[in-house]
Amino acid sequence: MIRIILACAEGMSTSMLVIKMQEAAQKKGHEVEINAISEVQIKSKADEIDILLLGPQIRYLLGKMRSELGSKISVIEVINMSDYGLMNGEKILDHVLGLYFSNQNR
Amino acid sequence: MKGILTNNFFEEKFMPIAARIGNQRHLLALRDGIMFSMPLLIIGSLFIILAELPIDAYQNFMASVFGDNWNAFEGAAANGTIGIIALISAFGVAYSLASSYAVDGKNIDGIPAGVLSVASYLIVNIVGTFGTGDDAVEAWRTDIFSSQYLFVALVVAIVTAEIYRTLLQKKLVITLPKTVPPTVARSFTALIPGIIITVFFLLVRLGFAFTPWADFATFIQEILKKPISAAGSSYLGTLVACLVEHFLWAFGIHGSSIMTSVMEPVWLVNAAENLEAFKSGATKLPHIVTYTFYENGVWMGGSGATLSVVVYMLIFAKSKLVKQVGRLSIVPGLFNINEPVVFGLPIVLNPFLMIPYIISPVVVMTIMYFGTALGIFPYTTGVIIPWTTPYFISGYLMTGGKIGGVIMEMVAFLAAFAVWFPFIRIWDKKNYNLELASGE
Repeated sequence: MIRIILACAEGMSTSMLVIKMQEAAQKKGHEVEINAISEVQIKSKADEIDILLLGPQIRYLLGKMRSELGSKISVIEVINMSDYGLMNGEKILDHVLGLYFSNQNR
Repeated sequence: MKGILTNNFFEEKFMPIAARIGNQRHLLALRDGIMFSMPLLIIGSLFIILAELPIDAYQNFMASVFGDNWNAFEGAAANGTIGIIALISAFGVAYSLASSYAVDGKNIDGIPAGVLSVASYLIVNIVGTFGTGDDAVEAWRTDIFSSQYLFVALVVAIVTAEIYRTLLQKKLVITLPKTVPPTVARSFTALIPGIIITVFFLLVRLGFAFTPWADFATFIQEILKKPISAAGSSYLGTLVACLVEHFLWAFGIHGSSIMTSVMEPVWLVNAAENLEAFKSGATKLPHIVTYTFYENGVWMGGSGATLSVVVYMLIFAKSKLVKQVGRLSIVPGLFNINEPVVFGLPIVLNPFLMIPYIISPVVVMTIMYFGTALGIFPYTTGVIIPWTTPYFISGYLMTGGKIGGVIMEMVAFLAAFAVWFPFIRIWDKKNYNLELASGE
């Protein structure tokens, strides 16, 4: 089970995207667990995250997250703005799983 | 997509500044720490709405069933919830700030800092003697627990957390062997920092007795609260906050979160002061700009006052893209969430749609502000409702159950649409033609 966490300021708009990504994962048969949290909760949950996706509105946190949590979480990315706006769950899922598996094989 | 800013100027020059503000640990701690009391604020407001609903039939019915004192619960419920925001924030802010620091690569446990901060806050506040002779009691005035003194609590919390973490980082603590249970160890860790912090605030208390302010709390109220509060409550201050917020969003940064970390303390204090006046039956409330005025009134369907334009997109849009954004945005929009509009339409880095996005909330805010000042619209009473409360319902609740609040939001709805309409029509047409040309 790959644990994917989406984070934005309050975890509200990302929770809509979570549903879209869960649908996409089910359709393709990926073994993933996807949840949304608020930015404040990230640190305390770092040990339970494999892939951390930041909403584009908090992309200024990327540098900080990578330097603080990069050793624990293998993929930390910012969600593409237009995919985020149009709630393109499938495309985002494919992209991050691709990154995740290529990291695993390295 | 043509016409969208593609240069990296903002990413390179602007982003680091936004990152610095967005990561500023004291601002973050203030925002997160005050949020500790948010559930209490909403719960307390619910009871006040229940007691004050200005519908005669309802008031008469309740009085006939439960007696004339049926709403006596209001004071008790408000005192124990909204009335202790300063105390909860004293804990929350010190906890959040201390937790943001690390010693030897491990985050500091913020709980002792929070506890010490509450103690320090009570130490600097003067205990008064009430009554005379044998009946005299010593007590704290209840307003030191409430938003009246929130700024004092915030200052104490930040100072406490800073002293606490400095001492921990300098290793001025009693360290017990690893076999001692963590809860026991924790109480010893806090001991030396706790004594130093207590002595510090005792000295502060003593020192201020020799100043013209007589005590620390009065000093903070005069020096800090008055000017900040005046700036944040004015039209100009609110206008600047609104412009900064939407300008940041226009570049794809969470402007609301960054702006509110500065403005929320001011607006919450204003809300609580209005509420105090409202409960005591005052005819004119002290503040126009409050937490709900901005976060429920100006955020109409989210930042950029987009609710009316989302309805338009859903029903009238011709292009696939704009229609799809309308479909994705309508339900979240009812709860004032509009990221699909911001990133999907998109508004971010789109110089054309930035214009209505920045102007329409300013227009809404201006109409609400001067409409209230001129007595056309009712004041917000300061009851706290979640910012996700659907528009129009929020207008009713935040003004203490006045239809005038709903009318105010309807005017805002139409005004925002008037700003958006020419822009969205052109954007829709442009996308429609692009889609036709690409054969979709």
